[in-house]
Amino acid sequence: MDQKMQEELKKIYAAPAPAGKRAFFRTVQPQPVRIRYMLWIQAAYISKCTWILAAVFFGIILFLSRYYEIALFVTVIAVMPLLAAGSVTESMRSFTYGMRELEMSARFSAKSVILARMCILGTVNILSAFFCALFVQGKYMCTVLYLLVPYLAAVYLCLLIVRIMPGRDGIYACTAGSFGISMLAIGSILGKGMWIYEERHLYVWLAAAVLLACMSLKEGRRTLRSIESCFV
Amino acid sequence: MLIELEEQYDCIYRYCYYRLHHVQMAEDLTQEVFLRYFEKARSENERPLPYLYTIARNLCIDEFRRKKTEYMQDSFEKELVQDMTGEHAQSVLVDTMALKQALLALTEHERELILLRYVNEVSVADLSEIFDVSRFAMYRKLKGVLKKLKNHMQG
Repeated sequence: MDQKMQEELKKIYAAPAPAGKRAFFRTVQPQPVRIRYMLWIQAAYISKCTWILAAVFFGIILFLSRYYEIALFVTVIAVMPLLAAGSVTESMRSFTYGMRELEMSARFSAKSVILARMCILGTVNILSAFFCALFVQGKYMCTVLYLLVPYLAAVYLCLLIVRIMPGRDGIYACTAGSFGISMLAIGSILGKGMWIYEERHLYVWLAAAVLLACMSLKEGRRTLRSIESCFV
Repeated sequence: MLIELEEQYDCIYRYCYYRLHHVQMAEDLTQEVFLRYFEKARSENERPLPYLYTIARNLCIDEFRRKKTEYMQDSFEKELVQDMTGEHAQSVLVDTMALKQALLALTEHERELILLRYVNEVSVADLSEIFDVSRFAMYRKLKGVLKKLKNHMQG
């Protein structure tokens, strides 16, 4: 059917404007949103670059696992803090690019949107790290801890930075901070710091992981609270 | 999702107005459609459109039976005829008149399909769900209706 005929049909079938539409929708309560649906929607809004970058990193890691075991371990340790930086800055994207007002007026609160994105990206990164740890020889739990500690340190640092420095400066500072943690981790492996990876220090790593996880959670809560106070 | 449903309000209202030809009744029924939808919708994954139109069709049928208002079906035809005769007939384009005359030659169901597909822009998939036929059957039906319409227009 051509455009002209369709327009004519619309005129023929035209109805008088409804009078009570706005009043009706003001009184209607929206259906409660399920968390699973909300996470699904927010996952779609995470930029493709973030996913592509993560896929490239883990692709390289899996490739290296076939040839160089130590290179794999070093690469994963180096990459995890950078992924943390990417995840935190991606979650706070709306604030970095001045979309605060728009997001705060949307159906889902800015807090829940950011929390959803952090959860999605954090879960994917950690699960990917657990998967990569399978390819590193040695005790699985030890490897997981060696990967988690720099990751959680970077998460804590980046959350602190984005809370203090919202905007593009925060992205640069996060990247620099994560890069610093990566270099420290690599330096400890390739330099004279290999002793910290001995099994007798396992409980220190465990304590560090738990402490950093708690600090990251606390910092995350502070960041979310600071979002609410933006327009107070 | 509420925003998407608000956009569909006008389409559902237009459908109810076409079926009932009464402004107030059409608006009441439209609001009833949405209230029933909010009550009964099972999940966000379900496509809302076929469900909304199914509720609207059933409510319109119930309204006919309740008030025995068969004359409402003829109201649309009367309006078409009125547009072609009467004072403003001369100002109406020849093409529009030909289209209106062709619409009069269609059955009620065929006019309903025209409204849903080409005016309310409901997809073939959703239409097939509303009328409980296969997509292929709906596609063939629409093609048949369009051909009939064009044949009548060409005289």
